[in-house]
Amino acid sequence: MSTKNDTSLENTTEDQMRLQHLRSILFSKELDELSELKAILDSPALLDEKMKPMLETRIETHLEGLKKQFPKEFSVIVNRMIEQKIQSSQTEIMNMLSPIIGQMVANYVRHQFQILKDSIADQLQLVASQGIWWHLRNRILGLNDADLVLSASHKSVLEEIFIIERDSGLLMASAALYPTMDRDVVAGMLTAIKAFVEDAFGRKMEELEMVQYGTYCIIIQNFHSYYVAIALKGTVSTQEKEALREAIRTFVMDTPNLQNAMQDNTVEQEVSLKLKSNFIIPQEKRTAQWVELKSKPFFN
Amino acid sequence: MISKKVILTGSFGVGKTSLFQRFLTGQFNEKYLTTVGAKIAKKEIYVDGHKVALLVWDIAGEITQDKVPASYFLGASGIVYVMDMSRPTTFAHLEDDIQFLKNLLPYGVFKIVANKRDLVSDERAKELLESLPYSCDFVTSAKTGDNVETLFQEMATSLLENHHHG
Ligand SMILES: Nc1nc2c(ncn2[C@@H]2O[C@H](COP(=O)(O)OP(=O)(O)O)[C@@H](O)[C@H]2O)c(=O)[nH]1
Ligand SMILES: [Mg+2]
Repeated sequence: MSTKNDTSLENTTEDQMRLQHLRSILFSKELDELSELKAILDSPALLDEKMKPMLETRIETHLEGLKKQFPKEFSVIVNRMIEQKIQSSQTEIMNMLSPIIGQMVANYVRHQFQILKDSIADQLQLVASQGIWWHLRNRILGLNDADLVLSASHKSVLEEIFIIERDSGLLMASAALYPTMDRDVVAGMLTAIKAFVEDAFGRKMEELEMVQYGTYCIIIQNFHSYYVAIALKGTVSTQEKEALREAIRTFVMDTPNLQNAMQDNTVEQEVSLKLKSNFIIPQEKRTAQWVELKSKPFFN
Repeated sequence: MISKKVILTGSFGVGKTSLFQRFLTGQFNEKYLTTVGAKIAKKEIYVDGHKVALLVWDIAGEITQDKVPASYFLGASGIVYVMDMSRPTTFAHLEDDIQFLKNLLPYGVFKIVANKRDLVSDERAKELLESLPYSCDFVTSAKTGDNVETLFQEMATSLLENHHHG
C-alpha cells in the first residue's frame, strides 16, 4: 500500500521516458555514430583494422589529434543537428516539453500571485494604520473608506458560511452568496480534512483554524460542539480575519437556539436566514458593508 | 430534513468503496482504487414518506479498527462493518472491532455485512456465516448488486426509528 512512493516512482520513470524520447528525436543518428566511433576507439583490434591503411608514422599523432579534436567537432555537428531537428520537429518537442513548461509557468504564476497578495495586504495595513485622523479627514472630505481601500486593492468576498456539528460533520445551518454544490458534502469533507490535520499533529489542543487553497481561504472558528467555517474569495487581511472571528463570536452569543438546529428544521431555517442577513453581503451593497466588516462587527 | 452520518468500515479490500459506489451510482468497477483518507457522499432515502439524508463516509481501511483515526467514527449514527467472504482473514477481527466500535459509539446502529457473495459457493457461504461470533445482517455482492440497496434502505429505516424513539 505504498501509493505515494509508487506515484513518485512513476513520475520519475515518466520523466526519464520523456527525456529518452527527446534524446532519440534529437540525436538518434548521432548516437549510433557515436557508439560506433566509441567502439572503434575503445577496441585496439577495431582501431588496428581501421588504422592500418594510414601511414604508420602518423598514427600516434593522428590518434592524439583525433582524440583531442573529437569533442569539439562532435559538439559542432550536434549543435547544427539540433538546430535542424528543432526546426523540423517543433510540435513534437513542444508536446514533450509542455508538461514541464506548464509546471514552470504555474509555479511562476503562483509566485507572482503571492507577491501581489503581499503587496495588497501591505496596502490594507497602511490604510488601517492611518487610524482615526485618516477617517476624520475622509469624513470631512466626504470620502468613503471603502472606495479608498477598494481602489487600492483587491476586494474579498464572503461566499459561504457554515455551522457544522463537530463530530459528525453534519450541517447545522448555512448561507451562501451563490447556490453552490452540495453543502452537506462540503461540510463533511471539511470535517474530514480538519480531523486529518488535527490527527496528524496528534494534539487535540491544536485545532485547525484556517485552510487556504488557491484564491480561497476558509476561516474556522471552533466551539464546543460545533464549528463555524467561512469561505472567502480574494485577499483577506489579518484585521479582516479578526473582525470576522469577532463577528462569529457575537453571532453565536446572540443565537442561543443554535443548539437545537440539528433536531429542529424550523430552527435550522431561522439560523440560516440570520446567517445570511448578517454575513452574506449582496453584490449591490458590498462596497459599503465591506469596510464596516473591516472595522467592527456589522450587525445590530 | 434529518441527516445522519453513516460510516463504512472493515479491513482493506473487503469492498467498502465498491458498496459505496454501487449504492450511489448503481455501478461496479473491477479496478481496485485504494481509498486515501475519506470520501463522503450524500444520498437521500425515503422511509415511509419521510426523507432521510445519509452522509456516507468511505474511509481508508486498516487491518484493525483501532488504527483508524477515531475522529472519523465520532458522530456516526450508522456503522456498516464489511467483511470479504473470499478472505477469512477479514473475519478475524470482527469481535474485537465491533467491541471497539460499540465502545466508541454506544448509540450507533450497526449493520454487519458479508460481501463478495458471488465469489464463494453456497456451501462455503453457509459454513462461513455459521462460524461467525455475531450474526451477519446482510450478505451482499457489490459486483452483482445483491442486497446493496436493501442494506442502505434498512440502515435508513433503523436510523429513523432511533431518531424518533432514541
Ligand atoms: N467479485 C467481487 N469483487 C468485489 C466485490 N466487492 C468488491 N470487489 C473487488 O474487491 C476489490 C476491493 O474492493 P474495494 O471496494 O476497493 O475495497 P475497500 O478497500 O474495502 O474499499 C476490488 O478489486 C473490487 O473490484 C464483490 O462483491 N464481488
Ligand atoms: Mg476503499
